[in-house]
Amino acid sequence: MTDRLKDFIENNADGFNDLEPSQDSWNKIAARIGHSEKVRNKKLRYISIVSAACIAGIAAFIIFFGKPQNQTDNFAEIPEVLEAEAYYTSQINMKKEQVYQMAGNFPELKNEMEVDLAELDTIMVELKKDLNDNVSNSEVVEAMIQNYRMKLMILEEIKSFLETKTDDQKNTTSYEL
Amino acid sequence: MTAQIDIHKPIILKAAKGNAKAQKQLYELYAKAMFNICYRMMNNIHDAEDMLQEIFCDAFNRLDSFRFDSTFGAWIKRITINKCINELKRKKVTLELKEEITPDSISDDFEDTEYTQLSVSHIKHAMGLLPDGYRIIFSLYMLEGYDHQEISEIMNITVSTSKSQLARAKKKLIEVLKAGSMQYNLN
Repeated sequence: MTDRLKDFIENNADGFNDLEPSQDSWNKIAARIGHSEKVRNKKLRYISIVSAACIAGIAAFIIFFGKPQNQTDNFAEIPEVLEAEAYYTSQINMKKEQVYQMAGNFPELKNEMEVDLAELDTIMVELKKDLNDNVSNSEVVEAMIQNYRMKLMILEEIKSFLETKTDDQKNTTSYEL
Repeated sequence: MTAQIDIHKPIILKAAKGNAKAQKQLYELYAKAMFNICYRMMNNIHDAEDMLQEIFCDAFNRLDSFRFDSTFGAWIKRITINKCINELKRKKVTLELKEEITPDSISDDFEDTEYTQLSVSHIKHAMGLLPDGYRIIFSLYMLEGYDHQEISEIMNITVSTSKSQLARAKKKLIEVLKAGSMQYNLN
């Protein structure tokens, strides 16, 4: 004996599955899991602004509250400082080169990155002036190192974002269903 | 079924690592099916939309625990049903799952449907008029493909309760369909 109702439902399964979720449904999910493009770009921008603000704060503190030190050493010429500068500069240039090569399809991101790095460069110029003036030099050196690290962090973050995007584009054809 | 696992496995693995594009692909593959299940369970479009978001957020958060023991479809379907049932319980919806055994009721249904004109839209409408407990068991068995053993585990009831509730649900649905067809004939 067959179940006519069950048979009918099975034979007309499509008719029982014809509702579509709203267009906005994915956007809400993407926003909740933190993967929308806007969220990601805002996050990158936020990191760079916070980084620049932190360094600007350190620089301002040194400029306005730092006391001249009675020492004759020229910090700018100390081998460790020169060595650190050379190391970070080469790392930053290498990362920047990699990011530039990958960012061809993301001109907006590239521009934002350049603005952020330029802000950090401006701060670095001020820090170097302070270093030459022998004003709280140990703090200035620390701020310079932080500046280099911030640049590396921003570049690393952008590089990892671009790697994900490139990877996605490569696989789109294979998985398009 | 195995082929389906193989086709989707790379997407699932990427989505588990938080890849946004892969997550969107999984959503596009399964959202419609899950949304229809949500609607049948919740009997309300707005609640179905809310549940769909909850389900996919939860699924993406737990995706690294998915071990490919089943298909992704079966896994997310189970999440969907469990979440909907929990939400209905949270809303204190009465599921009317009394332990009643009516051995003859299932066979009665076969005769009942013989003279009833069946149509998709009428059945969907009639399902919406069923009490929540009847509608859920009816959906799980008739549309989602679960057997009584699985339903008893999902709903935490006995197999005989699942059978008797299904029989009652079918009987009630046929009554609604018959009442509807009389109404259509009169009009």
